[in-house]
Amino acid sequence: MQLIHEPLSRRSEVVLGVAGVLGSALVLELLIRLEIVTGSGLPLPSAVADQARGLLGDVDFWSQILYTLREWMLGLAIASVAGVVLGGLMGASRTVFKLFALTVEILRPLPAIAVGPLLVLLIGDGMLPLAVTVAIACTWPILFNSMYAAKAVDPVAIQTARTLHVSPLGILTRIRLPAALPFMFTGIRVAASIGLIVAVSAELLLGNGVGIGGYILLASTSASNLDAVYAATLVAGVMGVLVSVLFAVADRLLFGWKAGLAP
Amino acid sequence: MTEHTTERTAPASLELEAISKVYGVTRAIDEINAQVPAGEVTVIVGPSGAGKTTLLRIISGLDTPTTGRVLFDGSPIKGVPDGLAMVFQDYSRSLFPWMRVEDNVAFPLRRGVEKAERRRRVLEALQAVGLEGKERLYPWQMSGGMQQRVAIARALACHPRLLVMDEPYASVDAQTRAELEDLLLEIQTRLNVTVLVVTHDIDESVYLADNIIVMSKAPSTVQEVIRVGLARPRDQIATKEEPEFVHARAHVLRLLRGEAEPEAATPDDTLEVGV
Amino acid sequence: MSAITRDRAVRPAPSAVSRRIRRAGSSAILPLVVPALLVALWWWGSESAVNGLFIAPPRDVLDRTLSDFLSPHPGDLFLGEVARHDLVPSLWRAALGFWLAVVVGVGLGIVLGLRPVLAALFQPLVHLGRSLPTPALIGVFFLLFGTGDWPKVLLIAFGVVWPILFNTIDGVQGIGTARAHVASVFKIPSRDVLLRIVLPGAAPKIFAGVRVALSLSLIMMVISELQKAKNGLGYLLVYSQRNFDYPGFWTVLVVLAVVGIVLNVIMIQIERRVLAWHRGVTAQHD
Ligand SMILES: Nc1ncnc2c1ncn2[C@@H]1O[C@H](COP(=O)(O)OP(=O)(O)OP(=O)(O)O)[C@@H](O)[C@H]1O
Ligand SMILES: [Mg+2]
Repeated sequence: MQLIHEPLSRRSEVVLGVAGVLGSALVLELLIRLEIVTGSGLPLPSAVADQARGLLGDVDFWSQILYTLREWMLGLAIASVAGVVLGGLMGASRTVFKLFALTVEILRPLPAIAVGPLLVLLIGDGMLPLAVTVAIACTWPILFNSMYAAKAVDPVAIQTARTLHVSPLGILTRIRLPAALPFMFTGIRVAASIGLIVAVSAELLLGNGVGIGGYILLASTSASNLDAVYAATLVAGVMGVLVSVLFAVADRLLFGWKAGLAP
Repeated sequence: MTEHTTERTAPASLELEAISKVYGVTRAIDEINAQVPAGEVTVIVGPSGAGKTTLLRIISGLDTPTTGRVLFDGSPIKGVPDGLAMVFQDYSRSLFPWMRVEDNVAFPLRRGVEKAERRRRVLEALQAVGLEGKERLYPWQMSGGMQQRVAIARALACHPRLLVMDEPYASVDAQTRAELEDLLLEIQTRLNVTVLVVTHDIDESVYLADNIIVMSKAPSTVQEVIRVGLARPRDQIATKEEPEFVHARAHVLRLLRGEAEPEAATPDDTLEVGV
Repeated sequence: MSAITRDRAVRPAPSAVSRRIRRAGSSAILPLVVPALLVALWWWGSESAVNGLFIAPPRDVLDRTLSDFLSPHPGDLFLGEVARHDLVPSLWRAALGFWLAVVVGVGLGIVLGLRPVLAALFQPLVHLGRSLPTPALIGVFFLLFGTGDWPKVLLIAFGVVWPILFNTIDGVQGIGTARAHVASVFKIPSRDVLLRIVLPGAAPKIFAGVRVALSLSLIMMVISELQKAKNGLGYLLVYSQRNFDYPGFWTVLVVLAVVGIVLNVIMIQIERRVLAWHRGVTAQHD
């Protein structure tokens, strides 16, 4: 079996990627048009693309997108603060770790979405219960990565700094924090992608017609409007891809030095 | 070990004919012509980036030369030649951490070798490198030197006719390195196998070699082939004090620094140093 | 400062045994402090005038959980009425969807991971799949696959396959040239390369993906039962809420947490077995 391959150039990767997307769409289009696969509700790529184009020209849909984005950012912000603080403390102190480890293990498997309806009951309508649902889902990756982050610093680096007479404060700000930041950021980056999915799902399940999820909810009520469901889902997916690309770029720009550490 | 000589066929020879390698626009190897005589230890030295690893990859069929060809026992190679085994520089990556030592060593033997025979060969190879009793360990439970021994045992278990090693001792400590050098010479004599080693270490090159191929910096050519006539078995202290050793070492060093003119190649193209 | 040290020196040093007992005691109690506080908070919330309506008292929830989900009859495998009616079908569908995702994700991931051209072709689609809010497709899945269990199983599989697929591709591509060279120099046959190099080499990454998928499949399980369902924990969640049966609602949350914890423990045990070598390697590098 061939395990060794010349790595593809960046350019051919991009070309192949585009070809893959267009090719798959074309194949699906043909399969449906030639009635090789049949059934109601199949996504005809051209129709979905049409619909998506329509959505992106629609001011009302844009306001839904913005609503989802605001909700997502609020949730991510809450999660970042909670995750970094609690995770950082858990990583830095054995006692705090022991205090919270079991609790975290108990609460983490709870599907955030299932808690959502309760939040609506307790907090009331509006964006806040949605954002808190997002925050619950986003907290865990941030918390775990922050926990590792607090331990990430190489003891040799600290010893080196000591021999160079760096003050304890200097060690915290110039060694511990820089060592921890990339890991924390990784957590936030992972959470960001999860958060967007949860945001749309939460709108879908508990919202009252707001956000992209709300739009999909309304569109799914009529079976004739399936292309709109597909299109809105696709838009949400593409948004997710863009978000993760943005975060990946930011990661590279901010913490490029980290790559040098990779074993 | 006599009982195995029947199945172990004669050592292989190599000829490198006008090998060149171009990566995109960089010409890594300009032209290499050399011989690796059967049953001897040939060492390749050269400055960093000279294309030594590239050359080994070409010889072992992992890569193809841009021009030229490799003759294995007189016939051009297609892919990895049968009877070639390789010890990689990076033992921590070339051993499989999910297999125990015995499974690592037995791994290349799986095809067409009886289970009992496999077991016998594994034990034989581990014994040859002094690792009896360690077969149930995982590689990561061992020191670097021991891991490299496992890698050597894995190559030996295949009963190779040509053993190729790329800087095999670059990441072990000096003491272990000396032990492994002696081990290699001893195994080479006992099993009668052709050995081709790349090294950065000039002392090591002279100590191990029957022939040293000195490469120039990239785009590389063969600067000189030095024949080392030091007696075997060699000794880490006594051999290194011999005038021939000292002379050869200085000569290689000068070549690498570009201070010495290569001694004009005689028609039979090798020359005895210090004799 | 010196007074304190002197004081310490005078006091008889605690024996190693008593020190160990004390440490064991504190490490047994410490983890329970926060859960106890949370339960207290829960109870306090249930007593409050404003929100008490929606917050069932912990005691009631515990009773409900025991009576609904457990039974004294060995014939029912000690499963209560609700457990048999809702929990078991839920878990069954989740398990089916999860396994489907594992098989497809790992299989496809290996194929793509071994071929850079294929990987490059499908990379954008894998990224897109990972970012899709799958719950949005629930209605579509019912339309495409009819009613009953299949649309739910397939929705779960579709929702959780992406992290497995993505991580498998990543893991296979990360096997490394050194190991690839070993495989070709020693002429390892394809089957062995696949089963003994590629799969174990990619296993740590695959497991990471499978772990994410496992917790996701619990979420997808709940979501798939929120519509057009006749049973299941998700159905119960909606049903109890509609009937203002808040103890029932809280009971489902508790059961979900328990299921999550149990699955997590199982997963950790499997990982321990399969990835023992990996822990050894990483411990060595620490
Ligand atoms: N896959 C490759 N693609 C492009 N260039 C390469 C590749 N492999 C090697 N080179 C180039 O070929 C030259 C020779 O590399 P090689 O690794 O063979 O040198 P080397 O003699 O083994 O060096 P060292 O002693 O440092 O190991 C270098 O300039 C290197 O940059
Ligand atoms: Mg090299």
